[in-house]
Amino acid sequence: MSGSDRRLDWLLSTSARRAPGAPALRAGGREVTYGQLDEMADHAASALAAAGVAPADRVGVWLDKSTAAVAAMQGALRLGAAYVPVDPASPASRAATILSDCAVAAVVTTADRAARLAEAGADGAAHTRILVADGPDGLRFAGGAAPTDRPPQRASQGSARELAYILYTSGSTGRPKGVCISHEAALAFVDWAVDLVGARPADVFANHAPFHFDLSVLDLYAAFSAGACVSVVPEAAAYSPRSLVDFLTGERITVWYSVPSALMLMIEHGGLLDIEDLPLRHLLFAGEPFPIRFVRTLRQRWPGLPMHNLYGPTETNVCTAFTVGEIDPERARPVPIGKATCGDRVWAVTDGGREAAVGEEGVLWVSGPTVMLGYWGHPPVGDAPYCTGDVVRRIDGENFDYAGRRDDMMKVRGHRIEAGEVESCLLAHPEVREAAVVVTGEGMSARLVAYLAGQDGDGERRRPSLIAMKQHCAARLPRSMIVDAVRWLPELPRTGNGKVDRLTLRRWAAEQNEKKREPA
Amino acid sequence: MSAEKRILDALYEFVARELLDGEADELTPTTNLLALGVIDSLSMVSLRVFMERTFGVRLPDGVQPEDFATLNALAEMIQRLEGKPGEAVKRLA
Repeated sequence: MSGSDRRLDWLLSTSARRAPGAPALRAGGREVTYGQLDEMADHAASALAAAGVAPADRVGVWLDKSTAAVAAMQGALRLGAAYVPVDPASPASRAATILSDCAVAAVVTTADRAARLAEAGADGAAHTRILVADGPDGLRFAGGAAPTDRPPQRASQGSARELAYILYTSGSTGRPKGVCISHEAALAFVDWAVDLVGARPADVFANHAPFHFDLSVLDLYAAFSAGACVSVVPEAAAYSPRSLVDFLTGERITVWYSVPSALMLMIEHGGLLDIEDLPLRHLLFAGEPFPIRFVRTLRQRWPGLPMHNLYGPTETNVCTAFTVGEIDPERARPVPIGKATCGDRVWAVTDGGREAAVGEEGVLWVSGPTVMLGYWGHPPVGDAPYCTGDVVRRIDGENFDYAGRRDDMMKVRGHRIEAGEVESCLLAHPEVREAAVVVTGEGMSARLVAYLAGQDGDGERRRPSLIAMKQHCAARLPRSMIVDAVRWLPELPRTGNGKVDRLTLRRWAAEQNEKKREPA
Repeated sequence: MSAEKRILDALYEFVARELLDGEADELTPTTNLLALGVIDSLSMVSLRVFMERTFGVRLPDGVQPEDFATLNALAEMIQRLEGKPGEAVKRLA
């Protein structure tokens, strides 16, 4: 590799050189230009360097979505380090687990979160430098001193195969796992997205997804690549579909990318379809199947609006996409996940081990430039293809429908949840002997149901309440993994070979769901 | 019964029945419903509808998540809004 490989942080610095006065980022009611964001990224890089961050180090960023968070991420990249965005709503114990797993050299966070991290007693946290980003004006060390000025760090140099960021996702063994994405892999996806929407300086990208969720990569970097503006959806708006719609029109958003759940709420409860002068040029969605009736409604309302269904586990960025055209009135399945993108190759392998023919189902494999380097702490995958574990149906020469999964990975409103991670947490409760979680319902009504067997003892033993089990989960897991319902059983049903019978549990959960819906 | 108690009771009953499937043991006015995932973007929709129908108030724009994190916070906000006719919804569902 040559020293002139393209790097992810160059997108911002290049646009800042080209048009320093252009709006770059709107967050928390404040707009910064490319020139200003460039300065803030420089300042963050200086502060991180003063904290001892060196090339190839990791930098944790545990902040709400904000200008400071973006500056910290860019600052880390400029030093040749990688950033690790941590769910701002995560409990401190999980944040600490993630930060110690990838041995970050520094953490950028708030004073409040820094105190909670210290309480959580993270291994290695004592050796990690904490930088506090409380105000709008840069970073200071946890002790209070502002870092000394250092020469500007305009851009990193190095191989495009180096690590750019780590996104932690649910792990089946009970610990989150870090998906390592290189500069090259991120850029392969971003370049494709910029082409897809024809991104230009006048565009305003909405940023709906949190930074630890891979959808945000498109919002931030496609905007930076084109010298466009990215506008961060305020946290409170997530709780009000009307506010989301007002945000879309008020900010004159031209490119919106989110999970379908958000769009469904906006359609049903936010008045999205009532917008008279829709500013959107492109509508993108990913993360879960989008029920066809909603897509059909959008198509009827705005026949000319380009809509794209993007697909890919975090491990592959985006590896297939489908641009929605006319929708067959007979179609009941969600829109296809489409065909390979970003220079990737995708194919489906049947249970028999051969490539699926048209009409057949198989597990989707991916190889190409967007595939991850590997999981943190595990051997790199090199050029080996990645098995998504997603079952797809081949619908023609190159397009696929999503069909489901055969393992215990679940999706609740776009959030990927490994049953094993939630079950490990539940098993850590002293009253729990056996645990299994299943998802019941689809789309908006998906719920996480836990089946638990308690510790032996007298039969009348009082079991912990739903609230108590939720509190137990909330202290250890991200919000999306907190169980919605708990059912106590004498013991869990087992299959012939002794494994927990999840099929039966799913059926019970579905029956219970049905009963709930019947009028009393 | 005081106005505050009336509001709190109605909220408690709604959250227990609709958002917790009736399993409300240990639910208190200070339980953080947001942190427990009881209130999320989806359940907030039905909570809004309930508040409009029952109290005739609509959550104002720019309301912050901590203003609806607990039953106490919700009750306080409703009381504030009820006192301000300008904030109340004119058309009741």
